This record gives sequence, C-alpha cells and structure tokens, in this order.
Amino acid sequence: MSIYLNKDSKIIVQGMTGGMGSKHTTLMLEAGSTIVGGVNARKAGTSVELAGKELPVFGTVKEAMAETGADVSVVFVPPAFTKDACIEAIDAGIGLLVVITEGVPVQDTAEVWAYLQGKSTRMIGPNCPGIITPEESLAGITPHTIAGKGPIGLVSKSGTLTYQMMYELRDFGFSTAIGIGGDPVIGTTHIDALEAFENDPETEAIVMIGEIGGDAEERAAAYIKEHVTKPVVGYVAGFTAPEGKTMGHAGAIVSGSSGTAQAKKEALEAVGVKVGKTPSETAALMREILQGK
Amino acid sequence: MKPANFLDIGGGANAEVMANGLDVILNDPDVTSVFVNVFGGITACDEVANGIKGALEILGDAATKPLVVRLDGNNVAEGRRILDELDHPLVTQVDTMDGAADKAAELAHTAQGA
Repeated sequence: MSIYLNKDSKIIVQGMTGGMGSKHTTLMLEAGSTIVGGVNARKAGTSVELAGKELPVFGTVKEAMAETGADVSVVFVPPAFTKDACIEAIDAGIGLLVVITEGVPVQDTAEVWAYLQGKSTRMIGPNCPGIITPEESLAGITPHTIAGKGPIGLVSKSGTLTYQMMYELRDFGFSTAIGIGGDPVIGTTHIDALEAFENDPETEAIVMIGEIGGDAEERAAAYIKEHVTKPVVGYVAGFTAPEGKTMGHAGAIVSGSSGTAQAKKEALEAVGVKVGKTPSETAALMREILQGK
Repeated sequence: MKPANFLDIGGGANAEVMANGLDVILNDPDVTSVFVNVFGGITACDEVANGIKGALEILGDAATKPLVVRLDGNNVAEGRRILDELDHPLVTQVDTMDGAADKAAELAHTAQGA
C-alpha cells in the first residue's frame, strides 16, 4: 500500500513536449512510472520518444484518458495556462492531478480550488515537487534515487526539504512522500495527507514538514490530536525569518505575531508531535521512534 | 551564528539566475561567507555550478568572500565535476547540509574575527 499513487497508476503529462515536461517525463520513466502519453492540442496525433519509449501526444486530457486508461496527470504547462489545463483535467474526471508549475497566479489557483469542490479529482500543488511512492511510481520531480520503500509517510510544503528528509532517513525508506507546495492556496493539505497516512497500513510513522506563514500547521496539530494515532515528528522552516518578508514561497510570510515558526512548533508539541530544530535533528527523532518499535 | 539573509533561487533556476543571485548576496556588506545549498529536483546541479563559475569569472578579483557549496540531487555528478575542475580558491565543496552549514559558519567567524 501507499497513498494516492502506486505501481498501477497510469500517468499522462500535460506539457510533455516542452523543455521541463520532456526532461522530467524521462526522469519519471527512469523512476519506473507508467507514463502512457502526453497532452498538447497543437501536437495532437504526433508522438515523442523519451527514455526509449514512444509516447503518443493527445489533443485533450479526455481523449488521452479514453485511449490509455490514465488516472493521473502531471502538469508542467507555463503559469499562464495552468488554470485552463487543470480545469480541463478536472472536467475529464482525472483521479489525481499533480501541478508542478511554479508562479501560478493565486487568483487562478483559487478558481481551480473552487472548481474542484464536489468533483472526483484530488489536486496536489501547484508549485510543488509532486508525489513519489518509491520503487513503484513517481508523479513529479523528486529524484527517485534518494530513498527506497519503507515505513515512513512524508508530507512537506517544501521540495528541497522533502528531498533532504528522504536523504536523512534513506536507510528506513518511505511509503509515500508528498510535496504539497508552498503557495497560499493549494489542493491537498497537510491534513489530507495525515488522514491518508493514518489509514495506510504500510505507513508506521509520519514526518510533517511545515514552514512560516498561514495556519496550516496549527490546523494540522488540531487534526492530529483528534484523529492520528501513529507517531508524528515535525519540522518547521524559518525560525530566523524576519517579519513581513516573503521567504522563497509565496505563502511563507510572518505577519505580525502570526505564522511564526515558534508558534507552529508550540502548537505541534502541545499535541505530542516531536519537533526538530534542524532537518537532521528531526530525522534523529524519527529514527528513535522507529528503532523503539 | 545567524544568517545575514536568505535567497531562494527558485525551482528550475538556470546558470544566469544563479549568477545574478550570487551577485546580490556578495554585494551585501553584512555577508562574510556564503552557503549555497542545493538539493536539486527540478533545479539541475550543473546549472548551479555553471552559475557559480560564471559569477566568479565576472567578479574576478572583486570576489573575496568564501563560498561553501553543497550540491545533491538532479545532475549532481556533473555539478560537482564542474566545481572540482574550476578549483577556485574561494570555493569549498562539502557533501552534507549540516557539514556545509558548519563550514560556512566557521568561515564567517574567521572573517569577522579578522
């Protein structure tokens, strides 16, 4: 088991013929993902050879799904076209929509978010590294060589910290690792991932990585208190962040006294989550938990 | 030891973005040493390495601050090779994040004491 993505997932790539799209489709194939085609209205009917595999290009997501049975789409289209690409995929009824694109206008994401309500699609992102179920499938840009399969579930706002934590705990391995993205409006949240990991029999413990800004970590803490029985360790990026400055991610900003790393750490610790001061200390906390099992 | 500043080069940064970023950081008078930390997913380590190389070439003798570079992930072998080949006296490569952070802090300490 795993969450959201497994060896049976059939993936299409919106924007596969572009520079980033073709490069990362190649890397996904090397990671063992089942990629069944791409979507580009202007190149419909052609095909692209990547990593020795001939991949058909379809005009629409709907057509691609009908022809290939795809249930996952990874979006690499430029920011200005991302909203339309997402709505097209949602309308086609895709199961999982992974939006890698950075720089999508927040208003566009808000419209996509509203459009998602009541639909069958789960969106991850935008502005995220996507999701990996090691040794089964990769839908995104996480290097597949960092860590193998194992008992840890990982959910993170940051791409780089996802990779760093996988590297620190590579001797244990991961059930699934998800980067949910650092934008102010996102699809899948920490709470969604915590719920899925709690229900996944393969996941024994969870690492949750947050950062300054917003109140997602505080809300996740409240959720953990009520619903999560598995051990959770946490890390919050940005202890030295000054107030009022956006730190790398659009959503990462301390406003007045709210959204600070300290407040988030305290909220998590109040519900029994051990929080590390650095990624390596956080990994050490997880190591203790797994070795004590 | 606290950071003087923080600069995110963003996902998929190319050599030019990296060089421009270094230009900003190196011109900050509060900065005494620079820690470049990249675990590349969409960002390719060879682009980062070429950006460092390009920035140092442009700066020439004006570059005086030490750079501690930790590269991992996407195209790491090529990135490390470019910096090994560059063999620049200001550039130190360290394999781990914690090790590189310690080294950058140590060099900043030395510079401040001087």
